[in-house]
Amino acid sequence: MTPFEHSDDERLSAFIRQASIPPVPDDLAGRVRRRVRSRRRRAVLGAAYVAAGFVGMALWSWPRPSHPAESATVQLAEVRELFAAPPVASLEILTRQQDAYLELLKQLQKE
Amino acid sequence: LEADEDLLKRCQAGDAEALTQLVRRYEDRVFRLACRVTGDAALAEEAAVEAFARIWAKARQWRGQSRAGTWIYQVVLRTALDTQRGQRRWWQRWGRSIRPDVPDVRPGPEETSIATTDQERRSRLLAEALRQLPEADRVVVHLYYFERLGLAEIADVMGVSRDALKMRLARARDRLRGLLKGFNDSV
Repeated sequence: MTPFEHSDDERLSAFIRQASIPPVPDDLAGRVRRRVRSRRRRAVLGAAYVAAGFVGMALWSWPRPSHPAESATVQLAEVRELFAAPPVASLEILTRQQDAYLELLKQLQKE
Repeated sequence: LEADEDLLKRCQAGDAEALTQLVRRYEDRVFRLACRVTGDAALAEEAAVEAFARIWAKARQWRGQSRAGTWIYQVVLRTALDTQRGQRRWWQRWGRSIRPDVPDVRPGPEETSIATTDQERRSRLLAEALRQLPEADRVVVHLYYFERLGLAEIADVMGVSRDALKMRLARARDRLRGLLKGFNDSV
């Protein structure tokens, strides 16, 4: 099975087992529990920070109405007025006006 | 006594008491392996704590494809290697140096000078020889000769083929013999 002699292995194993290893520290289980708890707390805090960040970003980028809702209906009612042609007399009316003025001037001259 | 596999399944379900039982059952083996890899008791303690925390966090990744003990050894070995490698980064060394909560249980100079008996000398020489082996060889020697795991299980833990493991073991053994020339009568 192994490339070495079995007895050699046994002797080496016995020799190696003499090597001193410091004793296991006290309360290792307690330290593990504390670490697991602090990791969990950190994970919950991290998730809370991320969630708070998302909520903050959502609130910040949410489209806010610039006017109250009532004025929006007024704006809709004014649409026709806003997009209507400007209150300027058409060319035909202006021509008639000028003709009328000329006619009046001619009559005044005759008189 | 509850089987390791059952304890791991309870860990998967979030049972913290199962983790405590696993820690009590494995703390010796985990700390010894971490000590062998890192060569430093304080670092080994840190690696052991971190390894158990990872076992808890990754318990769901174990799906019974290997023995629970093998999987635990895999996690511990990876964590110990990470801890050892992390120690080489200066900012992590600095980060650890300002944390006084990990006691250094290494023998001080007074204890070293007292260690005069033959057994202690042997022990120190062996520890020194093991420290001079490459990381992977040290792990193989430890798992095979100290923990007495089978070749198949060590191959699983280290993620290498059985043939590659045999070669590595033979090489490590030769190196160890060379380093322990003065104790040829014992080895």
